[in-house]
Amino acid sequence: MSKPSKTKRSDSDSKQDPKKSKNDVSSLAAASKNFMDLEDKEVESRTGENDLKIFKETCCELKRLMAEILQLKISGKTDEETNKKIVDKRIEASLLFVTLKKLNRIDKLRLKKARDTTHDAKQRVDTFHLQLENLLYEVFHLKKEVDKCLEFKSKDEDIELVPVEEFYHEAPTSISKMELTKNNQHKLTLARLEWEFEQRKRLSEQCRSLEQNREKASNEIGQKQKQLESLLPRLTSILESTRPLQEELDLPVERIKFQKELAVLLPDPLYILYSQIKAFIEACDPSLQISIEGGMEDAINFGSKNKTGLDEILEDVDSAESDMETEYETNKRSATSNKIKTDWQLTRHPLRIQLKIEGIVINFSYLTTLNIVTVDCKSVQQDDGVNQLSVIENLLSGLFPNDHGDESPSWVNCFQARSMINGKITEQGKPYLWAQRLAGLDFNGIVKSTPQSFINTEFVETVIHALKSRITYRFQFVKVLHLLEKGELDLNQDSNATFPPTIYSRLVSWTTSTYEECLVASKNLERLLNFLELNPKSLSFFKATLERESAKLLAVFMVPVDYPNSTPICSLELNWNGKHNRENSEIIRRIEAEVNVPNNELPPQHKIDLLTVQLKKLSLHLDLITEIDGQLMKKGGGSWQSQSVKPEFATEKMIPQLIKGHDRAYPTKYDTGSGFFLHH
Amino acid sequence: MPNIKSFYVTVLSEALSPCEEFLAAGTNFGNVNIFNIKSLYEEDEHHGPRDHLTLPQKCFSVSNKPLQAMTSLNDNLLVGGKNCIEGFSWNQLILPQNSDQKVKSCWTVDLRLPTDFGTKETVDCMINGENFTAFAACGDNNIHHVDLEYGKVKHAFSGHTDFIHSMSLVGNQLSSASEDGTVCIWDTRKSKPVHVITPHLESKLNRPHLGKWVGAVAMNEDWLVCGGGPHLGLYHLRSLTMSKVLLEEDAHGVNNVMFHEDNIIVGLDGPFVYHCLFSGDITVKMPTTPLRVYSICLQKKDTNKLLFVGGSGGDVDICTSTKLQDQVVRCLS
Repeated sequence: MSKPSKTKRSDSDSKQDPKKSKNDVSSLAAASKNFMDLEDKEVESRTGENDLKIFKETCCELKRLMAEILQLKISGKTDEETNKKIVDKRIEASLLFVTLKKLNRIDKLRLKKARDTTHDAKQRVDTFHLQLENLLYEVFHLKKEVDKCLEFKSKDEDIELVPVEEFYHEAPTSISKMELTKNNQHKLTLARLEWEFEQRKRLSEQCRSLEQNREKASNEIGQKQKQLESLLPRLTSILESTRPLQEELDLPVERIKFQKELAVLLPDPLYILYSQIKAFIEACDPSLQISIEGGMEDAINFGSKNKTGLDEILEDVDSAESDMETEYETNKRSATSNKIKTDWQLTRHPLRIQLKIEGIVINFSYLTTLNIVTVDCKSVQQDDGVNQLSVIENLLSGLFPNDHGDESPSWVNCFQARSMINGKITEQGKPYLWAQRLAGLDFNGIVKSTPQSFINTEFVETVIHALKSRITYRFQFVKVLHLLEKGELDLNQDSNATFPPTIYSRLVSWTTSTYEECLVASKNLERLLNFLELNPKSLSFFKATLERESAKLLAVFMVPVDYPNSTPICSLELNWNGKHNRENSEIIRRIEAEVNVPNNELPPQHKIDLLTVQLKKLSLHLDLITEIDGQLMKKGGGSWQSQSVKPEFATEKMIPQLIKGHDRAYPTKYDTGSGFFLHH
Repeated sequence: MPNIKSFYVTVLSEALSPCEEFLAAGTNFGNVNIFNIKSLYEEDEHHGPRDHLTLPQKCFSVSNKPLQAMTSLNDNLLVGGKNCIEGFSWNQLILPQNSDQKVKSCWTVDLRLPTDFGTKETVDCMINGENFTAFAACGDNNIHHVDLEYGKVKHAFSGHTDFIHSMSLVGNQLSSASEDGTVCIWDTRKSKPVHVITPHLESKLNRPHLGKWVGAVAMNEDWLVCGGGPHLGLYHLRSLTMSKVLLEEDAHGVNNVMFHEDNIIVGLDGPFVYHCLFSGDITVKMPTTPLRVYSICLQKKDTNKLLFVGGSGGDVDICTSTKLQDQVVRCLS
C-alpha cells in the first residue's frame, strides 16, 4: 500500500511540475525523459499478474467504499459524523482512483513494449526467410549447370571408328598404348581417334595417286583418238580417188553406202517398210528395185524444222486469241491459221521409198503429223503409145478387200485427215491399209478394218505378189483396151473356137467413161451396183457401142480393179425399133445374164481376154436377137420390127427352136460341133 | 458381195406344200428354193432379225435347165426335169437345211422323149390329174398323161405345133395354150383335140407386135379364159365363141391366168398382176416386184389366201387376200 501512495505523490508532483515549469521547456523535457525511463524500469520490474491482482483489490475496495457511502446516505442521517464519515470515505475512494490510473498507465506501456518486441521478432523472421529463398535458387541454378555439362556432345562421336578389338589388333602400340588405355575410356577414345586420323590420311594419299594414273591413261587415249581422226580424211581421199574406177567397173559400193546413210535418217515406219521389202527382194525376188529418195540434208534438218513449225502454229493461235481487236481481223487470222494447219498436217517427211516393179514406180511417203504412210505410183514405161493414165488409175485400189485408200486408216486422226481427202489426195498419195501394215503402223490394233490377209506373217510376200500380179495384169489390160479402142475383137484360137466364124455385129466404139457419166447414160446401172454392193471407186467405167446396121447395142462396162480376177459387169441397152433394156425386155436381161454371170473359166494364160470374150459374146447375141426377131416376125411370134414390111436381117444362123419355155427365152448357147444355137 | 447370179434369177414355177406353209420356187438356173411361209407370218415375239426369213431355208439343184414345171400332188413335189418327172417328198423338204445332206428325189418317171440336141427333152408345163396322175406338156409339143403310180405314160395328146405354155383341167376336159397360137380343148380319153381356139384370128384380140402365142389358159365348167400375145379373151365353152375382151388396157402380154371365186387373176409379161371380173371390170391393178410375172400360186385352204407372184428377178411377192402386196422373199439361184 505504501508504494501506490508513493506513486500517487509522484504523480501529483509530476502534475504540478509541468504547470510550474512552463517557461523552462528543456528542463521539463529532460525531466519527463527521466521520468519515462523510470516508468520503463518500473514496467519491467512489475509483472502483469501482480498488477491485475492490485487492480482487482483496488476495485473491491472502491466498491466497498461506494457501498458504505451509499448506506450512510440511505440511512438518512444528516449529522456531522455521518457527513464526516462520508467525506472520509469519499477521499479514500478518490485515492483509489489514483491507483487505478497508475495501473492503466503501466498497462499501456507494457502493451506498447510487447508490441515492439513482436515487431522485432517478425522482422527477424522475414530476413531469415529471404535468405532461405536465395539459397534455394542458387541450388537450382547449380543443378542446371550440372545437367548442361552432362549433356554435352563432342564431334568425335559422329566419327565411325573401327571396333575396339580390331583397333588393338591393327594399331601400332605407339598409338594404342594398351596399358594406358585399357582402363581409361577417355584415353582409349582419343587413341582410337588418332588411329582413325592416321588411316584416313593414308587412304587419301592412295586416292590421289590413283587419280593421277587415270588422268595419264585418258591423256593417252585422247592422243590415240586424234591419230585415228587424222586417218579419216586420208581414207575419204583414197575413196574419192577410186571413184572413177568404181564408175568404170559399175560397182555399187558407194551407192549402197549412201542408201545406208539415208536409211538411218528414215522415220521409223518407212524404215520398217524399207527393211522388210529390201529383205524380201534380197531373199526372193531380185527383179524388184528399192531405193530411198530425197536429200540427206533436208532429212537432217527436217526434225528441227518440224518442231519450229509446230511452235509457229501454236504462237499463231495464241496471238490470234490475244489480239482480238476487230472481228474482221480475227476472221482473217483464223482463216490463215486454218490454212497453215492443213498444210502442216500434210507435212511429208523429205525422204521417201521408191519401189520399182516392172515399169511401175511406187512411192511410199510418210506424213509425220498424221502418222500415216501414203502410197502413189507412176509409170516409167513410155512405149507402145499406151495410155499412161489408164495404167496408173486405180492401180493400187482394192489390192485387198475394201482397201481403197480414201480414208485415214487410223480412227485417231480420221477427222484431221478429212482435209486431206478434200483435194490434196493426188499429190500426197493414198493411205492404203496394206502400206500401214507394212510400215508397222497398226495403230495399236485400231486400224479400221483388218482384212484377213493382214494376219498372215508372210505379209510382205503377199503384198509384193499382189502388187506384181496387179501390175502385170494392168499392163496386159491396157493392151487389151488399146485393141478394143481400135474395135478389134481378136482372140486366141481356143477362145475363137467357141464362137461361130462370122459375126456381123461390130464393136464401133470403146471409150473410157466415169461413174457419173454412166449413171446418166444408163438408169439401170445403179440398181445393179446396189444389188452387188459394189463400190464405184473400185471400178473402171467404159462405154461400148456395138452395131449391126441399124441395131445399136450400148453397153456400159464396169471393170473391177482386180480384173481379170473379178469379172467385168455390163449393163445393156438396145436401140433398135425402140429402146430395150433389162427392165422392159426379158431377152436383153437374158443376154446380160449370159455375159455377166461367169460360166466357164478361161485358161490362165488367156485370162486377160475375159473382157474381149464378153464383148464378142455381146456381138454374137446382137446378131442372134436381130435374126431371131426377123424369124419371129415371119412366124407371127411377136417382133420389134412388126411395123416394117420385111425383116431387116436374113436368117443365117442355124436355130432348131427359136423360143423355149414360159419365159419365151431365145437360144444363147452356141454348139461348136453342130454349129447350132441352142437353149440352155 | 452377193453373187451376180442371184441378180439374174427368174422364178418360172411355184408349188405349195400340202400344209400350205412352205413354198417351192423353181428358177431358170434349175434350182428349187424352199421358203418357210409360216415362220414369215408368225408373230415374232423376240423381235429378232427377220432378214433370214426372206431367204430360202433350202436351195437345191434339180437340173441344169430352167425349171418350167412344178406341181404339188399329195405329199409329193413334182418337178419337170430333163426327160423325166422327179418326185420329192415334202416331208423331207420342209426339214431345216442340213448342209452335208444333199436333197435327192424319191422317185423319177422317165418320159422317154425323143433326144434332139436336148431341145425336146423338156417338161414345159405340168398340172395334176386324177388318181395320182399328172399331165405333162413336153418339148415334143405333146401332152403326156403320166400315171405316177406305175411310172408310165398312159396317154399322149398330140396336136400342137409348138411348145405349150399353160394347161387347165376340169373333169375330163383339158385345155392347153401353146406358143403356136392355139388353145386346144381335149377329152382326156381321146388323143386328138376336140376343139381348137385360135385367139389371134379374132381381130379384137390380135396384137401382131406381141405375137400370136397364147401364154395362159384357165377353165371352169362354163367358161374358158385365155391370153398371151393376143388380148385376154373370155370364151363360152358350149358355143366356143369369144364373148368378151378382158384387160384391154394391158400392153405387155399375158403369162398367167386363174379363176378365184368371182375374179380372174391375171399375171402379165410386165410388172403387174390384175384382178378382173367376168364383166371386164378391173378390180385390182397391182404392181409387182418381178419385172415380168411368170408364175402365180394361190393358197386354197388358208384364210389369209396368200398369193405368190414370181417372175423375172429372184423376188417372190407375197400378197395377202390375193391382192395386197405384203412381203417379198428372194431366191438365191
